[in-house]
Amino acid sequence: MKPLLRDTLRPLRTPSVVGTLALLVVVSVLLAPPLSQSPSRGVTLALTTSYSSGYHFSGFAFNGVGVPVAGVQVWLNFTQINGSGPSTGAVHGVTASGGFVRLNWSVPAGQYSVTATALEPGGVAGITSGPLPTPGPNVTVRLFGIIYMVQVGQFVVEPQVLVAFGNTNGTVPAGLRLLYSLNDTSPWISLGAVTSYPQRFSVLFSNLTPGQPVYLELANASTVVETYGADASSFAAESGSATPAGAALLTAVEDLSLFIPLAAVFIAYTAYGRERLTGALEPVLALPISRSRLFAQRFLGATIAITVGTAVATLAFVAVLGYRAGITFPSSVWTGLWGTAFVLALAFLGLTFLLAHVLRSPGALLATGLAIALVGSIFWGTITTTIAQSTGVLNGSIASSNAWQAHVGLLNPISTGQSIVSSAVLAISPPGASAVLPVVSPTIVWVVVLVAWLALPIAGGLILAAKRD
Amino acid sequence: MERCSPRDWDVLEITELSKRYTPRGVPAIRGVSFSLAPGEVVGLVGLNGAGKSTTLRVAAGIILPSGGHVRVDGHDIVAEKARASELLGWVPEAPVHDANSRIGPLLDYYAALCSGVPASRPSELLKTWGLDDLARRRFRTLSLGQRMRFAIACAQLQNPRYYLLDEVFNGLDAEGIRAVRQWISAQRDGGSGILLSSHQLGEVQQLADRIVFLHRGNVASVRSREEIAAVGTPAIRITLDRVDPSALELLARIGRVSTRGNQIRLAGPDLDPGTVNAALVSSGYRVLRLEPEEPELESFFLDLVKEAA
Repeated sequence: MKPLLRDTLRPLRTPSVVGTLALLVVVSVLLAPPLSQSPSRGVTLALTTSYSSGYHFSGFAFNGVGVPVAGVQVWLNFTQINGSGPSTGAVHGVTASGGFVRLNWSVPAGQYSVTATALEPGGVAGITSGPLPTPGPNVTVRLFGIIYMVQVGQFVVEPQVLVAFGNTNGTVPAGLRLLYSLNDTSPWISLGAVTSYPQRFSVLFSNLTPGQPVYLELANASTVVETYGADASSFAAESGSATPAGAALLTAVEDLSLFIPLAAVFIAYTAYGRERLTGALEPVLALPISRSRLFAQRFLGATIAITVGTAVATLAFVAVLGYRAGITFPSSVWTGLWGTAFVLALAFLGLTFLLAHVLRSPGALLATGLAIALVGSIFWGTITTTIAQSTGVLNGSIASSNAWQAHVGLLNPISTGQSIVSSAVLAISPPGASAVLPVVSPTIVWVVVLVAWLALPIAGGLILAAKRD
Repeated sequence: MERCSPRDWDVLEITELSKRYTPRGVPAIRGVSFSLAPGEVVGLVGLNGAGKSTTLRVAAGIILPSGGHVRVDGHDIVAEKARASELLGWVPEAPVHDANSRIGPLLDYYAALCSGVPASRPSELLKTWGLDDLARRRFRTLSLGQRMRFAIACAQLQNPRYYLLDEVFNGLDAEGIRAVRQWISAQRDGGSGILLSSHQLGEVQQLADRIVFLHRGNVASVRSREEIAAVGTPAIRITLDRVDPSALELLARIGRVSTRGNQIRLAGPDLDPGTVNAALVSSGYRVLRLEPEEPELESFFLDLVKEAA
C-alpha cells in the first residue's frame, strides 16, 4: 500500500474512530421520528362547501410540513337533519396532483351533517373529521384554508397562510385579492392577487403567537366577497396548531446537528490531536515526511472518516424515516442532509485540527472542542439573545429576532449548519424553505461557511503545522 | 538493508543552531555548531537543561529551529525535511508512541511511511531487539527498557546514515546496556555517524571519538578523546594496608584526596607515582596497590563547568 494511502486511511482503522462513526449511525437511527410524527402523516383536509343545484365540496390535502398530498382517498358521508332530500348519502374522490379534490352531491338544499374521512396513499392510516357545517344555498365563492407555523425545534420560524379558493365550477374568480388582519383595529393588509386555484400564500407575521386569531378577507376592487376568521374562535384552533410532524423532524435534525460536531471533534482528537499533544506523532515526524504533509494526510483521513460516517448516518436517518412513514424520499433529501452534515462535521474537524496546534495538552483540546460544540449548539441562542436584549438590538418582534439570529448565527458553525440542514429538510415542503434565513442571502451564508468555517481553520492548521512546533 | 556508501563530503552539519520555546524566553540553545561524519561517534555532554535533547530534537526535525541550520549530507532539515529524514534515525530520551497501538503493526506502519524499506525488516528488527514475542503487545504495556529497544528498532528502519541517540541507555538493564554499546560500535564500524547524548559519561567516554560539551545552551568545548586524556586532571588510585587520618593528611599535601573504603583517589596536576609511593612508605604505610588513572571525562567536564561558571 502506498505510504500516503496508508497514513490517510489510518483513522478508519482506529477502533475509537470506527466506534464513533458507528455511534453516529445508531444515534441517527434513534433520532428518526417515529411513525406518528412522520411528516407525511397526519394529512390535513381543508374543505369548503358551496351550493348551486346541489352541494359542491372543494378539498385540499396537505401533510405535516405543508406539502400537498396527491392520492388521498376522501369520503364524505351525509346525514340529513332537516329537509326534503335523502336521509343519508356519500360521495368519494381522490386528491389530484396539488392535493386538490372536488366533490359534488346533487340533492335539494337542506340541512345535513357531513363527516369527512381521508385515507392516505398506501392506505395505512386515515383521519376522520367531525361533522362539518352545511352551507346555505347560493354561495358562489368561498376561501378555505389553514394557518400554521413551521417550527424548528421549539423556535417558530415562520407562520404560514395556506389558502385555497373554490367556486362551483373550479375557475379562478377574476380581480380578487386576499387580505389579512390580526385584530379588529389593525388595517387590512394585502397578501396578493388570486391567480391560481388553489393558491398558497406565505407571509412572515410579526408578533403572531400560537392561538392568536387571524382574519382573512377575499375581496374584489369594491366588495368584500368573503371574510374568514372574523369570529376569532373559528380560527384560533388552526392558527395555534404548529406542524408537529415537521417540528419533530426538524428537532431530530437539530439533535443530529449537535451530535455531528461532537463526533467530528472526537474523530479529529483521535486521528490527530491526541497523538500530536502527547508526543506520539514525534516518531512519525522523525520519518521522511514533512509536517504539513502529515497534517494534510491525517486531515484527509479524518475527512474520509466523516464522509463515510455522515453519509451512512444520514442515509440511515432518511431510510428509517421513510420506512416508518411508508414512503421513499427523493434522493435530493438525503444528499441535502448529507452535504450539510458533512460541511458541519468538516468545520469542527478543521477547528479541532487547528486547536491541536494552539493548545498544549490533549485534555484541553478535547474539553475545548466539545465545549465549543456544546455551547454553540445548546447555549448559543440564549447567549446571543441575552446580548441582543441587553443592548437593545431586538424590538421584541419575531422578525427582528429572526434577523438577529440569522446574522449572529453566521458566527457559529453549528447554528449555520443547522440552518442549512433545516433548509435541506424544509426543502421537502415549499412553505418555510425560503424562510429559514429570511434576512441573510444564501450566498453570504455559503461564503461564510466556506471561508470562515472550512478554509480558515484548515489553512490555519496547515500553516501552524508547518511553522510551529 | 543496503545503504549507499558515504561520499567524502557527506556530513551532518549543525551550524549556529538556536532554539527558543517561547518568543521572549531564554533560548534553550544558541549558536550551537559542530558536525558529525559517517563512521564517527560524537558524544553530547552537559548538565541538565544544557540543551542536549533540544539539539537532538531540532537535528531530527522534530521541532523547528529558531535560527541556524541542520544539514544532512547537504539537505536542510527544515526545507528538505523528507530527504534529510531519510538519512536520520532518532531515538528519544523517553520514547512515546500511540499508547494503544500494538508494536508489531506500529512498526509496520512506520515502515510503510518510508520508501524502500523491505516488508520483512520490521519483524527482523523486533527479533534483533528481543521484541518479537511482544509484537502483539500494546505500546503502553511495555517496560521502559522495552520501549527504548523498540525506539531503537524504529530508528533502524531506514538503516540511516546518522543516528541521533538521546539517553539511549535509559531504563536498560546491564545486558541491555551492553547490547546497545555493542550495537553503537557495530554501527560506527558499519559507517554510521552517531551523535550520542548521555548522562552516563563513562559510556560516552568509552564510545565517543569526539565530545561536544554543552553548557547553558552553548557549546563550551569540543574535544577529541585524546585531547581529554591530555588535558584532564591526572589521578592515582592507591590501596593501603590501613587508611587513617595521618595517611590522608600526608596525601592531601600532594593533591586532592577522596576515599572509597580503603581505596584512596589522589588527583593533582603534577602527580608522580614514584614520589607518592616513597612518601607513603617512608611514613610506615604498606602500599598494596598504586595505579595511575586515565583522566576522567567527569572531572574534565566538571572542571569545564566550573570554568564556565
